[in-house]
Amino acid sequence: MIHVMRMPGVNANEDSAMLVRWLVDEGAAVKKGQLVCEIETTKSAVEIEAEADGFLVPIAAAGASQQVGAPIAVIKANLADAHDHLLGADGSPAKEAEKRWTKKAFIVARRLGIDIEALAKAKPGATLTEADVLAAQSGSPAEAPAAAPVKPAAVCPVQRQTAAPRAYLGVGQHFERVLLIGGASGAGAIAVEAILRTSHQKPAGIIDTNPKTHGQIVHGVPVLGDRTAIPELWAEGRFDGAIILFTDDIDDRAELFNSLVSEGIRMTNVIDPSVSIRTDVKMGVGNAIMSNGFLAHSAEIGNNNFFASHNVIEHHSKVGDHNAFGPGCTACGRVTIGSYIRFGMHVGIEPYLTIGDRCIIASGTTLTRSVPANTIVKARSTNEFRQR
Amino acid sequence: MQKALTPRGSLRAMYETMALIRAVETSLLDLFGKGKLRGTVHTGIGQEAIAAGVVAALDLDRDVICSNHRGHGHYLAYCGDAKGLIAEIMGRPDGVCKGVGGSQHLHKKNFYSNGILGGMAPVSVGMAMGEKTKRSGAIVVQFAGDGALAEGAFYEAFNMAALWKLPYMLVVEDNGYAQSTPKALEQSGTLADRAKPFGIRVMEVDGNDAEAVHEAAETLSDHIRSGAGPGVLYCSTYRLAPHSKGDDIRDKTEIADAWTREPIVRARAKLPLEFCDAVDQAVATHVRDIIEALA
Amino acid sequence: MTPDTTPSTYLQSLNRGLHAAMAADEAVHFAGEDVLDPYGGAFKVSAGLSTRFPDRVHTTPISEGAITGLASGMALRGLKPVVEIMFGDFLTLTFDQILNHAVKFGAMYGTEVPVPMVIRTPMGGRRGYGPTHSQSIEKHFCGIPGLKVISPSHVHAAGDLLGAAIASETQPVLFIEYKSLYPLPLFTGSELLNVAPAPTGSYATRIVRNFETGEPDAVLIGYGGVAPLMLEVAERLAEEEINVSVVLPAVISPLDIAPIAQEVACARRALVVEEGVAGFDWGAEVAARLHETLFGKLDRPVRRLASKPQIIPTSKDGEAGTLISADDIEAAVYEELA
Ligand SMILES: Cc1ncc(C[n+]2csc(CCOP(=O)(O)OP(=O)(O)O)c2C)c(N)n1
Ligand SMILES: [Mg+2]
Repeated sequence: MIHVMRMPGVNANEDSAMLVRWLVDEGAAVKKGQLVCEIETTKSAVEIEAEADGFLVPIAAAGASQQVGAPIAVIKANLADAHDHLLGADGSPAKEAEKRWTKKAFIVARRLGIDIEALAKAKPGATLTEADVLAAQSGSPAEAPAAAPVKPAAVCPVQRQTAAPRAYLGVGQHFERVLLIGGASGAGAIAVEAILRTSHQKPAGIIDTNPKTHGQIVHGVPVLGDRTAIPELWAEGRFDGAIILFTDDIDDRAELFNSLVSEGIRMTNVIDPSVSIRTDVKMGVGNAIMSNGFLAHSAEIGNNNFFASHNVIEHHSKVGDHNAFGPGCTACGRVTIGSYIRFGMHVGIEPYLTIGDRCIIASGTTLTRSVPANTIVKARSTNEFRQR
Repeated sequence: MQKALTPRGSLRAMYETMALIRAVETSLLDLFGKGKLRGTVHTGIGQEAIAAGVVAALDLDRDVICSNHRGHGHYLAYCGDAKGLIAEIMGRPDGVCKGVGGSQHLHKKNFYSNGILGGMAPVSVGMAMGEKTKRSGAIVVQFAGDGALAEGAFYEAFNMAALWKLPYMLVVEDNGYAQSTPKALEQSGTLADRAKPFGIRVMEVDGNDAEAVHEAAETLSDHIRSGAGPGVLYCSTYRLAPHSKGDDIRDKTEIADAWTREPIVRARAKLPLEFCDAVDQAVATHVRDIIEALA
Repeated sequence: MTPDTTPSTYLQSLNRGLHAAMAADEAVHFAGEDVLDPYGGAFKVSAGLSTRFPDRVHTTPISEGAITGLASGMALRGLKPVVEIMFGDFLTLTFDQILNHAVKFGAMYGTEVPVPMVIRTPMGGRRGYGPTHSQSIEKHFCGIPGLKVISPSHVHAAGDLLGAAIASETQPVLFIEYKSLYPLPLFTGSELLNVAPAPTGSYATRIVRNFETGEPDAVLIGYGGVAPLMLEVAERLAEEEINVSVVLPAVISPLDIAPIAQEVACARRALVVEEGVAGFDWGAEVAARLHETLFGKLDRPVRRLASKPQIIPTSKDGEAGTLISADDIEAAVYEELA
């Protein structure tokens, strides 16, 4: 026999109470009527009596607030049937009782701060699922079951998407699994970290040309093979979107991007959570933006660009496709940047300028006039060293 | 060194083996004294007749030898490889076991040694089982000291070897001591009789008399090879040098007395002096050349 | 050897694996206590062997240390011995022969000397055999250089695995069989659980999932006798919408962490389960290796679950209260997800 003790309603206009402390140890033998814990509402503090004889196993921790009606302890006739109280929802002998929610639903609700008791009351007779909880969170009724695999539409390289952050939930299917191409590199390391710092993405695996890395764990992520493995991984549903992280060969980067897109493989953006994205920013896919980037109002980013840390794309600036930016580049307002361009680090671009396709801009350059396509811009001076 | 043209079991041949062992081990102690060796060595100075006599009775193409911590003599009698042994003890890559095993862990062809006392008894019996299964006609000879016979592993091994009539020969080198402890302080009853209740044939012999050891080893190995089951060759001897190096607490007069009955002195008494001196000369040069080459 | 695909119990599979290995190679010998027919070994794993291969099956005296030494000797001289130790608890008597002999020969003579031998033994409790016949002591043999410790679950083709160890290993193998698995049919999947494809007859780590698409919420890692408990928990959790992967390595030492880490990298929450007692346990090694591999990438520290560090009582309740249970595992998963 198991008796469930619930949080009593002490105060008519409060639906929760704080469990201050337990007066008996876990598993202690208690007699009906014995004081077992102390609770507190904003108006009163009360001691609660055991409701049956037996061994008491607390469910609710001291110091936490509990909904009225939520199970706070079970009293068991026999200590041996331990543990079934844990998150056991109502704690009563599980199989007999009507199941009000799945444990996953319970866990997700708690993570999201949703009152599952209230949700259950609103849906009498039903067993709440994770999908119900998620629906309650977004305010819409549950449609497709939560576990349905994401079926991404093929992405057209010219199509621009709004980079509005999506509320992913970080459990089950509610995050995007990202395949990191060229991810065994240093860029891979920072991209993995960026992904892990978000709540909506997880690394699904790394693709790398170096066969020695295959089957290994790099940056905490399994290396799944070289680029020939990608179509099969996609067909098997092993990832939801891919990102290219190598920048040494821009043409290779562009060609791979285009061929993956044409094969219907979904490319995604990896954006470090420290990146600040302001209003009306538009973005394509396949962009990696590392820490402390800043995309100002109405900035527009094409596809397949790699931005190292601390890049600033000021308001109304446009960036084309397949560009690689070293750390700390700044494009001032209303700049137009073409495609297939390599920027060193700390490149500055004055407002209104245009950078043509396939240029290479050396580190430390500050551009004060527009650059025609196919131009190499050398740094004005290299460092000079003299003995002191 | 040149192997003599004399038959292996002749006293002359056995003298050559004993002289080589003595020269190598004396040099090892010397190298130790000079700080040229690491770890430890256990020399069998004074016990050479057992190695020489037993190994001369074996069929070196097929028989197997399992040796112990005091195994240089067994190894040299088996293959004469003084250079491989000395280099091994020096921890050199050209040692017989590339410097991995060192003094107590030697292996070449059918020779295996291990520094754990007693543990090789069941292993030897397993080897005998293997040889019997293969019908190779080989016998497996294990060397052990008097002290080691206190290890329980021997009696499990005796039981199986006798039960399955395996071609296993245990050679006990009773030198009266285990490290610092005299036999009387750690062994009960008659040590030589330990294997008898298992139905194992035991032969006792003066372990300082190479010819006697050889003769007994031949008799016993023939017996074992015939399929009659295992045997124990129990040899009494005395260790003239310390247990390992410089750790001797035994009575000085007892040691001095033992020097008068040691196997090389005994063999020299029966052999022409010129022969013995020539052999001694040859092995001394041989060992000195090896050590110089390795220096 | 072709993989044995006949449906069978764990015990039948092992028995067939032994028969196949002995039939395939004359060098294979089998030795142990009470192994002759009609008795066929205390747990009948060796049933029929002595009838079929009378010259190569040896019933031995009750000398666990010596028969382990016997096996090294046979292996050193060209045979492929398989030794049965009647109860895993008795491995204590073989320790010197394993640690200072069997695994040394292969490595201490400067060149690799083959020592192909398999010591197999029934391990674990849940049969009421009491304090000295119910233990899981294999952790004491893990981490010995040169010794491979294999403990297949019932998700592995146990007999093929044993056959592979006998046929192909050139250095000593300690093969741990869980008594509690003997009567179970080999597991190939159920309505709620699916076994991820893996090469058959190999030592490959098996992964059982309670979901078809998506990612695990948590990963359960274990071997041998805890496999059925973990599968039971996975079934229960399926009904709660909680995705778990049960990862079952067969080679528990030395440990290949890669296939385990791959699964854990997805879930970022992992629990290691074993029937041996808690403390200085196998799970500690797994946890340490996972933390080394996935440092900073886990949501929670790896959780270790083991039996209580005390003797195993004979009584049903006493034993059940001591050994790790499915309820313990289930509760811990909830705690890790909470
Ligand atoms: C199992 C084990 N215990 C102890 C030792 C340490 N030990 C090495 S030699 C030795 C004495 C052995 O005496 P005995 O067997 O008579 O051989 P002896 O040294 O006299 O040749 C001891 C105690 C060891 N090597 N192995
Ligand atoms: Mg002695």
